[in-house]
This record gives sequence, C-alpha cells and structure tokens, in this order.
Amino acid sequence: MRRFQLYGWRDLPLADACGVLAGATGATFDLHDSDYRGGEYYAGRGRGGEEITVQENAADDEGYLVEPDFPGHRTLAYVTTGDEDPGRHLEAEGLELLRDEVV
Amino acid sequence: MRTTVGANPLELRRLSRTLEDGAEELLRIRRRVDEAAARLRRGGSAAAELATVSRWLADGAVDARRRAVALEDEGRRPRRHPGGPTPMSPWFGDDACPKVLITVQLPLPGLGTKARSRPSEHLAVATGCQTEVTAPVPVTTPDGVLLAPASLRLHTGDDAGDEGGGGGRGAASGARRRRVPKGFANAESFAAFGRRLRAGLRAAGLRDAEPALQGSSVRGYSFRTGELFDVGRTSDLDVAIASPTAMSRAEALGVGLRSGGARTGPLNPAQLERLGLGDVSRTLAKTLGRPVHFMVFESMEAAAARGPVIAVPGS
Repeated sequence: MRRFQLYGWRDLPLADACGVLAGATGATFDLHDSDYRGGEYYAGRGRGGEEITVQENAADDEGYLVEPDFPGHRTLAYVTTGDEDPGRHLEAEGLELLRDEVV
Repeated sequence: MRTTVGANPLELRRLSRTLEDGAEELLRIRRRVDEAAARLRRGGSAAAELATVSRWLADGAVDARRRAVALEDEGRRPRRHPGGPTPMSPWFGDDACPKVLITVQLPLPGLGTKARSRPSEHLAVATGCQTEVTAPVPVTTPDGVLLAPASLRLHTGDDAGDEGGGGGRGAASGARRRRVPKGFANAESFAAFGRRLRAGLRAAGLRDAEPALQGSSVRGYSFRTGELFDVGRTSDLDVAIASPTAMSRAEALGVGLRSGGARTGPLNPAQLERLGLGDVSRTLAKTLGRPVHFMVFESMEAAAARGPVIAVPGS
C-alpha cells in the first residue's frame, strides 16, 4: 500500500514552497523539466523516504490545469510515502491538504 | 546524420543553411495560409482552398527536390521513402526522400483531419541534431470561429520521417534507421527501455497499448522554456500511451479526460498506481536515472496531433 497526498499553496512561489518542504522533511530538491508536467518542477526525497515533487498548477497549451479541481492553488506538492501518514506534520507547515489516497 | 553533424563542421554549416532556407520557406507558406484563412473568412470555398494548398505543396516539392539533388551532388545519398504523398501530410518528391520535409495539417471543414488546437502561436528553431521549425496558424470559419490552427512543421535531417505521423511511418519503413530520443545513449538502450516499458504495459493488462516518446526528449528542447535537453536540470521522459483500454479504465477511475475525450492529463502518482503503471514507472525511473511521466491517448494520431512523437521499439 502506498499513500498519495496532494498539498497546495494558493500563492507561494515554487522556490519558496521547496524551502518550506525542505525545512519540514529534510528533502533536498533537484530541478527537473517535463512538458507533461507543465515545465520546470522540483523533485526530492525526505529523510523519511517520502518522494516529493513540487510544481506549478500550470495550464497546458489547451488551457487545462495540471489539477483542474484546484484552480485557486498556484503551487502543488505531491507526496508519496508508504502507508504512514505525514499529513499532520506537513499541514503544520502551512500546507493545505487537497487530496489523500491510499492505493 | 546526428553523429556526422556533431563531428563535421562542413556538415553543420550545410545543416544551418538548410534550416535558414527552410525557415524562409515555412514563413512563405505561412503567409499563404494566412491568405487562405482570410479568404475563408470572406466566405471562400474549403475545396478551393484545398486545391490552393495542393499547389503550394507542388511548389514546395520542386524546391525540396532541388535541395535533395544538391545534397546528392555533394556526396550524400537521399533515402527513399516507401509511402507516397498524401494530401494532408505530403512527402515531397516521389522517387527520393528529400532532406527537407514540410508537414502541413490544414484542418478544413469536412476533410477529417485530427489536428488539435494549439492556441498560442510560436515559431521555434532548435539547432543541432534534432531540428524543427513549427508555426501553428489559426484558421477560422467565415463567421470568425477558430477551427484549429494549421500546423506547419519543417524537419531536416535523416530524422524527418519519424515525426508527426505517430511513428507508424517509421515502423512501415522497415530497414530505415529508427531515431533515438534524447536521454538514451544509443539504439540498444532505447530498445531495452522499450522492452521494459512494454512488459510493464502487458503486466498492467494494457495489451493494446502503443507507447511513444514525446516532449523534450523528442524535440531536443523544452516546449515551455526553450532550454536544451538536460542542460541545467534533469529533463524527464514523457511517454504517450495510445490505448483504448487505458482510456476506458482512466475514465472509469474518474481521471478527467481532455481534448474532447482524446486524452487524459499527465497522470499523477496515484492515478498511475490505480492504472497498474506504478511499478513500471518506478522501475524505468530507477533504470534511467530520470523520472518517466505518462499521458494516455485514445490513439497515436491523437498523441501526434499534440506534438512530435517517436514510437517506442518493440511490439
């Protein structure tokens, strides 16, 4: 089982969001690029093994947002872990939990 | 062509001249498409505009043939292409594959093209081994409704035939060398990637899936920033999965469809897991040292309409 969480910020720039997550999880982030993901984004792994990607809720060339259910959130963070729940820890850092799934 | 260009300054200068010529030719054709669009807005006939486009393509064939002959005179052997010219995606010349290929998709009423809308106009040139000039042109109906842009693409080099057609032509060419996307050291590593990916798709029960690379590994540069592949950051791999089965499953799982039901968005980690693609995604990322992202399409034509593709080897 894996836990997939989506967090968001309404107006925090991408680099600042990485700073918040780095402080909260101990992750160091590397810059990546993917057309599918909307351009440049950051990926890292926290000290607890959680996989974290931070990206803009960008619109593609047809105007579709990466996460169309959350148009008011400018910056997104996907956090994937085992089945433990890091949610309270991250929400304490000012992140808004938008989605939480265990698959 | 790729290795030759990198090693041979003369070849590089020749490619540069070809690109410059091609850009001028593209702009000339673009002006003509603008004129056609204006005529359509004034109530012109779609059939008449198709005839006009055919005449432009005939003109282009002469020009492309001249270049192919010139290159042949310089000791390069033009390749043959097994497919004949088609009205909407023409191969210039009928007995030699030209060095310059211009693909025109002009969506006109009743012609059945699957070209998708790209609202932003741009003209991009990537230099080096992967070259492309693209200039989407808006085409509107007489009452001003945007139908879809005509997509004008100009490719140079031996890779020309692998783009824009969803990879099917590449497979049909048989003996022709398959293009290797950025991010792979050689054809063998690309083939190994193809075997792992296809095994993962089969394990997920997607037996009708046809995968293809898209994005900066195909273009050689980021569509968003223009930065070259892997320069200053890690460029990920974007994989289009053409699979009616995957589309049905995605829709059943509540994954939002886009482009009139022709595709999903980029699959997020939870969606990948639910579709049974989590394991293959992680395995490929670990093997390649870079993340692999997926988007599902109803067909390879739908994927190719959104950008150039390179079919993943294997079957």
